[in-house]
Amino acid sequence: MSLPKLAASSAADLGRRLAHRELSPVEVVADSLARIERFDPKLNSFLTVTGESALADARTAEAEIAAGRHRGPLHGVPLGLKDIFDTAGVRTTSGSRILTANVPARDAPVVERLRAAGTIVLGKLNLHEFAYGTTTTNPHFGPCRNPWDLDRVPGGSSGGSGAALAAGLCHLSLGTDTGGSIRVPASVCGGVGLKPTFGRVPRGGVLPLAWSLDHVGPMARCVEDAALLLCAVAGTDAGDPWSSRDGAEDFTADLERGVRGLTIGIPEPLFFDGLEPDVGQAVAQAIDVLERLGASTRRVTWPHVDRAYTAFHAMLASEASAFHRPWMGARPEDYGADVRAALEIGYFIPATAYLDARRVQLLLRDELDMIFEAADVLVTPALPRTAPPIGEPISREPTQSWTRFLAPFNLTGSPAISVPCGCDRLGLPIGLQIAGRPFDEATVLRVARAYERECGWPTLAPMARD
Amino acid sequence: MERTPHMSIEVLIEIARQQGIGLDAARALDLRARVESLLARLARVTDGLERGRQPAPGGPPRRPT
Repeated sequence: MSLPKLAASSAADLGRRLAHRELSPVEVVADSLARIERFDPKLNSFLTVTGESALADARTAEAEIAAGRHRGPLHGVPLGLKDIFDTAGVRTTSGSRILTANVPARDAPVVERLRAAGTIVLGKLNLHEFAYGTTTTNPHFGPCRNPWDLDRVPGGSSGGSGAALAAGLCHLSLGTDTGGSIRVPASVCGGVGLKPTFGRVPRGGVLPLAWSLDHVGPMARCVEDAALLLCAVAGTDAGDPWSSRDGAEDFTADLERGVRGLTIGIPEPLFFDGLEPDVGQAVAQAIDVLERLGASTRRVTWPHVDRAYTAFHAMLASEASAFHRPWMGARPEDYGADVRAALEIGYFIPATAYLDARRVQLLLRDELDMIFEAADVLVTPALPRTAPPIGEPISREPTQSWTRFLAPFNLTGSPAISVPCGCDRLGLPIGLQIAGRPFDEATVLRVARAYERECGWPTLAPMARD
Repeated sequence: MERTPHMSIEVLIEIARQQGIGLDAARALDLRARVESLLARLARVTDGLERGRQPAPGGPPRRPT
């Protein structure tokens, strides 16, 4: 099989062919490493490439599969990890100067689970410093670039993951999402990114940004791959006190059930304000597609959602500044300018304001529960715009922040996915957000898959298709 | 329209110092507008909220019943 064809394969398809020994894990990993060598000098998506250990793991996987010891649908599939997950013996920087020499002694529990599932770690991916930002214009390791347009950002904070997937450098990635950090890069890089329910995936061994808002979740190039990756990492873990008590589930079981009979809520206010025209048009067309496939739609009102971003900002800034206080006190000059400025603000938020934000959080959860009595999922644009040029200032003000449609679901803890729904007139990808009831990732994935099956937008960037 | 007085730069520096964070006058000046903007928004975030509404508990959201 030629290189481009292998890179374009889904992880699910690769896994099936690996299981039937039509492909070797060594061949697949070697192909990914060759693509990293070819494309990544332009993208800067990887901070560390673990080529030797990846090839060694591939040989082990090959021997296991040949001996009939098959570990499951992702056995032998290569992936990249955002460089915020602890990896035993491999440096884990969180995109920072402060942790440049940090080499964890053990894997994060989610990384242990991925290895147990037989996936092969290719390396660690670039991110916005300490996951506190949405561009991945990293001052310490250099900016990561969007494969759809190298002068534009890949989003963030999991920008290396979004870029590496769009360039076909890896088949899967694991990201984190505190206010949109999985869904932003998925949207602007034309991929699939799922923020699961809060607590669904444990966070031990993952550097925190804001304990109340941090989620770990899958990034991929198709919905089935995201579901398979979620199957591999979901489930309770004693090391995360806020991990849910649920065991593993099969999130692929309902993928092909379609949307007939489902009710799709179109929420207002907020979610359709201030859109770039091409984004508004693409999302309207996506809603039409879902109606044509048999879903019914209805307008739903989320009364106080306009307060979500301010409450979110207060919680994010307070918690992040608390976590970073020792380093901010001892070595503030080692932070990049934007992250240092964002952290400084947290030291001036009174405890009363933080608690008021948490009161709003519960209000928004209660309101969303009511909405989900009348709708199975909500559909919105993921972002109001496509990828901005590198260096363009990004506002954190609530009415202008480009993550204002995403952060409400970090507050409520509900699952939300971004799937591609077309491109703008410059050829830049647009993301559709689908959010669901707590612990109902299955319906979110089912709606996303129905849309994907009907429309099938390309997810490899043009530069990676030759 | 009455103009709200700005926070004092010295107070900002002192609040930061008490938390172990060094802040010089130039950084404090740059920070002041952002702090004031966020605090003004936060002051309105609970407008009209029922008095009995409690903060969200930590941990996962409730499963739908």
